[in-house]
Parts: sequence; C-alpha cells; structure tokens
Amino acid sequence: MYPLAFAKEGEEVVVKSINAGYGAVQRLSSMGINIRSKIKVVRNQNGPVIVSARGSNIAIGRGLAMKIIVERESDE
Amino acid sequence: MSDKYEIALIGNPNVGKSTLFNALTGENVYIGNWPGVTVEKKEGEFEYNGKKFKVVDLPGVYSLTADSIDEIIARDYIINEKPDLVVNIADATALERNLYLTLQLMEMGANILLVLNKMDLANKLGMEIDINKLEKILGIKVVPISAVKKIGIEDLKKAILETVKNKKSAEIRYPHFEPYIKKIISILEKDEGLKKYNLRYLAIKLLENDKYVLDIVKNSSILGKLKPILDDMMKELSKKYGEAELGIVEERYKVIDKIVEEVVKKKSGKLTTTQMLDDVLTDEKVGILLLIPFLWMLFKFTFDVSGPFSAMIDYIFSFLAEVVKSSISNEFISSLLADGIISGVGAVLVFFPILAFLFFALSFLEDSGYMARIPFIADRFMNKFGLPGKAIIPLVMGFGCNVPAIMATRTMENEKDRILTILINPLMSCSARLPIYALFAGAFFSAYQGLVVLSMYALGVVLALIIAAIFRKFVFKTSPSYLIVELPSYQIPHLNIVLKNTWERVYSFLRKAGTIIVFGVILVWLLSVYGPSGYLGVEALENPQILANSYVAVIGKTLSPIFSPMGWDWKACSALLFGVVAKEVVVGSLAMLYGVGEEGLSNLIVNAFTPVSAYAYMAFCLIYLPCIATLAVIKQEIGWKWAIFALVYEVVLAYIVALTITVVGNLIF
Repeated sequence: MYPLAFAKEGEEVVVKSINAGYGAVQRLSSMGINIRSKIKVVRNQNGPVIVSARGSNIAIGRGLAMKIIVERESDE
Repeated sequence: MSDKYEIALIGNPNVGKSTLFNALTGENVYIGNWPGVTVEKKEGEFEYNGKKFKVVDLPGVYSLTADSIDEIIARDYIINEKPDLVVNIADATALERNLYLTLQLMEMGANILLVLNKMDLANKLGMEIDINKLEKILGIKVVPISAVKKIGIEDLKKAILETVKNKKSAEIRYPHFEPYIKKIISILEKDEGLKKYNLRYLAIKLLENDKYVLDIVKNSSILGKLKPILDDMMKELSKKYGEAELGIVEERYKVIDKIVEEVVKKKSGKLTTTQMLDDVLTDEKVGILLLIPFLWMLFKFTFDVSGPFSAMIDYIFSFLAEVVKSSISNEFISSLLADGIISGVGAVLVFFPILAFLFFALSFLEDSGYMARIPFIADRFMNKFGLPGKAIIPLVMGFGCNVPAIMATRTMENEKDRILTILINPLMSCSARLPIYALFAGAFFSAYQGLVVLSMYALGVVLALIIAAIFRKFVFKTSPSYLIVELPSYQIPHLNIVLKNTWERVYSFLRKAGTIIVFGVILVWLLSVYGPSGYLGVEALENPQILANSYVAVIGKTLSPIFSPMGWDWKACSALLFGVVAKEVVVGSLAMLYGVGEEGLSNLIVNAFTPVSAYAYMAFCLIYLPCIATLAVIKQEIGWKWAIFALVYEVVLAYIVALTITVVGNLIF
C-alpha cells in the first residue's frame, strides 16, 4: 500500500483509504473515487495526479494524492 | 390554484445543463444572486400547452453533501423551496458517476425527472442505454436528449408537463442499510417537529454523519433516545467499512453498478482525441510551455481587439460632453452633466468591450474543455504562495484590467481562495497604470525606460505573491483548497452558448458596478468645483489657480505632510486623488495641476521630483487604492467589508513600499 502520488502512469489501483477531511472525502466519492473503487492513473508527474475513475478523468492535487492510499489491483 | 409550476435544473458540472436551460427558456432569463451569497442565480420561463413553467438553474454539483457553497444552495433550495419538479440532467456517457447525484435526489424524496443528455455522443461511442429498464429500476421518468443538437427537447417538455402534476417520490433501497434506516425512522417518527422532513432522508444522512441533519435532530426531543443507538450503529459500520460515513457511499455505488450493468451495453471507452490532446496539454513540461502562449493569446485577444471599441466609446462620450457643454448655458449644470455624469457613464461603458471580449475568450476556453486543465498545470507553483491553481487566470488577466480579472475569479468554488485571489488582484499592474510609468520613466530614466517600466510590473507580481502568502497565513489560516477537478472531454465550443454566457456576465457588471463608478466620478467632480469657500465655478477644472482652492487641493495639502518623506508636493498628492477615478487620469491631473499640457509635463516634473521620489511615486501609483471601478467590482463580488479591507491594506502597503524606496534610494544615490 502506498499513496496515490507514488503510483505510476498507466497503473490500475484500488483505493484503500482516504486520510483527508470530511469535505475532501465526500467530494472525491461524489466524483467516483471512494474506498474500494478501481482507478487508473493517467498522469503522474511532479504536479497533481490525473486518474480515470468511473469513466471520467479527474485531477487531484498532489497534497491530496499523498493522502489517498492505494494498492495495485493485482495484489488483491 | 395557479397554473405556474416551478421546476429546478440540477446536474454535475459539464453535463450540458446551461445548454438545456437555454434550449428550454430561450430569451426569458433573469440573473441575480442567491440570497446572501455571490453565486449566480439564473431563472427563466417557458410555456407549454398553456401552462407556465418557471425554471431555476441550480449550480452544477456532484453531490448534495454540502461541503461547498454550491451544494448548500442546491440542497437548501430543494428542501426548503420544494419545487414542483427537479429535472436531473445526467451525462449519458458517464452515467455511472452521474447516477450518484440522482440517488441522492431520490433519497431527499424529491419529485424527479431524469434527463440523459449527450445521447448522440453515447451512441457514437457504441453505448446503448435501455431507457425503459432504467425507468423501471429507478421508478422515475427518464428522457433521452441531446441539448446541443436540440434533439428531444419537445419530448422533455411533454414529460415535464406530465410529471409535474402527479408528484411522487420513488424510493431507492440500500439492501445492507435498510435495517438501520428503518430503526432510525421508527425513532424519528416520535417527534412531531421532524414530520415536515422526509424521515428516510434524515435517517440516511444521519448514517452519513451529515452536519446539517445532525443539527436538525439535535433540537428534537428524541435525541436522547437516538444518540446511543446511532453511536452503536456507527461503530458497527466503522468495522465494516473503515469509516462509518463511507459505508453509504459504497452502498450507493453498489446500487449504481448494478443498474449500469443491467441498463448499459458496452461500457464507455475514452475519447481518443481527448486522450491525445491530454498527452500533450497536461504534460508537466510541454503543458506549461503551451500554457504561456494560451494565456498570452487570451490576454492579447481581450485587450487588443477591445481596444478600438473602447477608444470609440471614449470618443463618443467626450464628444457628447462637448456637445452638452456648448449647448447648455448654465455652467454648473452643463459641467455636472458633461464632466460628472456623462464622463462617469463613459467610464463605465469603456469597460464594456474589454469585458465582452474577455468573457468571450474565457467562455470559449471553458466550453472547449481546456479551461479545466489550466489549474491543473498551475497548481503546484501557485500552492507555494498559498494560492490554488485556479488563481492563475485572474492574476494574468489583471495585467490588462483588474475589473474583468476580479470577475474571472467566479470559477473558484472555495470562498476563501476566491477572496484571497481578489484581494491581491489590484497589485497586478493594469494597463491604465502604464501611462504613469511611461511619463516618469521617460522623464527620469530615459536610458533605462523599458527596464524601469518592467520593474514596476515585476514589483506588482512579487508583492501579490508575498501578500498572498502572508494573508493565507495570518488572515485565512487555512491551506488552499485541494485541487479536485474533473477534466471534461475536449470539444469544439458552441458559439451561441459562448455568446450567451458572455452577454450575461457583462450585463451583470454594468448593472451592479455601474452606479458606484458613476457616483465616484461625480464625487471627485464635486470636490474639484467646491472648496472651503464654497462653489468655485467649473473653471476650476481647467484653471490650476482656482483648483488650488478646491477640496481636492485641500485634501492634497493635508496629505502632503504625510508624504513629505518621499518629497512629493501637494499637487502630486492631489493627482493621486484623481487617480482613484481611473489610474490613467493621474497623468492628466498632474498636467492640469502644474498648469501645463501633457506634452510639456515631463520637463516640468523633472523639477518637482527627484529620480528617487519619482520611482517611489510610480510604485505608490501601482499599489495604492485601486480605481473606483475595481473597488466597485470588489464590493460587488465579496462585499463592503473586504472592499474596505483591500483599500486599507493597499494604502498602507503603498506607503511602506514608497517609503522604503525613498530611504534605500537616498542611501544609495
């Protein structure tokens, strides 16, 4: 398990936990990123991370991406 | 019994809600603000089969958990205003995520009609959606449309007419949660005061740890009974789901997954053009390199294309003023009309082309999908100064004019981020300050003109970033909100949508900021033609000897001791007062006060200033009071309190910077 910010581009991961405040967690989950959801990392360079979740692309600030803990899908 | 129904439009951002709103309502649109907040409220009307419908456009939201002002507005509206029908617009190509909001609406017990927009696009992607099955599962009416191509609009109107009358709410069941929900409802039922709410909604929200609903229940008689049971439930849920409030989220998605599985054939693939463009446009290095020309184009387009139109308006109003002056014999009235009211109205209308072209460009970028990528690219850099990525656009726009720049902050959802971005915006050196720099740089630093002018722009940017970091730390005491933004697919912008957006925004500026600007111009006029000895005559505006007795001069003379360390005379101080009307007026006022034409001015100010005091004066002009129009728009966007705060901090900052320049400059030279 590692933060989303460390995931590689093209990697498919499962969200394990989101250690952010109530507001950020609710917002993420309303956009399709909640615990146990599968997301694909589209872009991860030095800035925010772009993931593809439930059919749409979402950019997540790097600070928040550090608080989203994920696991590689095949590990499960 | 009135034959007018109230319906609300709601949906995720980027689902084409505005397009549908326009398609339904046509020209009958009223724009105001939601009570108590500066978020735009759009209302329109249409008639169908002899029935009238009032359409309220709710802000674009992903959910109704209410962690942003938009969600609070949407939720409160549905709960308190109880519209006859809630029209939920979903993007057919991203049904999976869009249904999340639909489920929440159903939880609230609203009378819902689901509209699947972008059906043409979904079909193109090879998706098939079984509308009948979806209707059956959800228990609500579903209408497929394409708002852009105006397909299905008549069907929708018909469906609206049908569903608006027989109000019913369909229930959505969450298998793993039903026992909890039932138990909570059985307790809530015992309080008569809670009966006005949808109890199922309250129960679900309690399990989600929703503050708003917790507050409702806190004041009820059953709290003592409910609390221990709810606490137990939450403990149980925490074990199952990690965090209790996330359990219901997972349940909603489970229900959605099941629906999508049954209803949608062939899941949506990604749009390849979007993928290809994003490979380039969101690349860490290439993206930034490409952002600069994009912003430059935005900037050039706004100010260069609008330039001739602004000049024309300026010309027309000075012409009008001349006509009035020569045709009305009463000097006081003719000057009040010409120099006060007409030039005041002119000062407002000069902004019209600038705003029109800016908003056109912004709407164009927004509709194309690129706009959402800009904060993504800028986020990292801006965060270092306590600013969110979205602040980049208003700051760049500020180089042209702070008025449209401040209005461009409307895209920021977080109120604190937005206030902060507005507060520092006047430090971005707008084009009206350029004549001041040009005058002084030409007169004192002819060898280094370009460099000196550039240093002013740089000073503004550096100060803006420093002030942002300081305010973030000491005034707002929060971090900039996390970037969470959907990157919509790229598309070719729709001209009619772009034009409509543009007009709506420009109109709201003219209506709201106009009066303050006109008032300000008239005030300065009054201060010029009146003095402690009474009415001086309108000659004061042309004759420096008479103007020397006016209130403007009195204020200038009162101020001059304060500015004596910088070595500015009272005329320079009075000119600053005129600069409040518009910064470019400073040069003309200096010319008038020194009793020379603008051509002879540079020779004269060489005697009145030293190079150091001139440089300090330029810096002061950059920083002190924003012009009356900027002040008006700050007030319009974030209220008097912050407008006064901006005014005070800028004057103080201007003084400190000018003094520092003087002290340091005099030590060196």
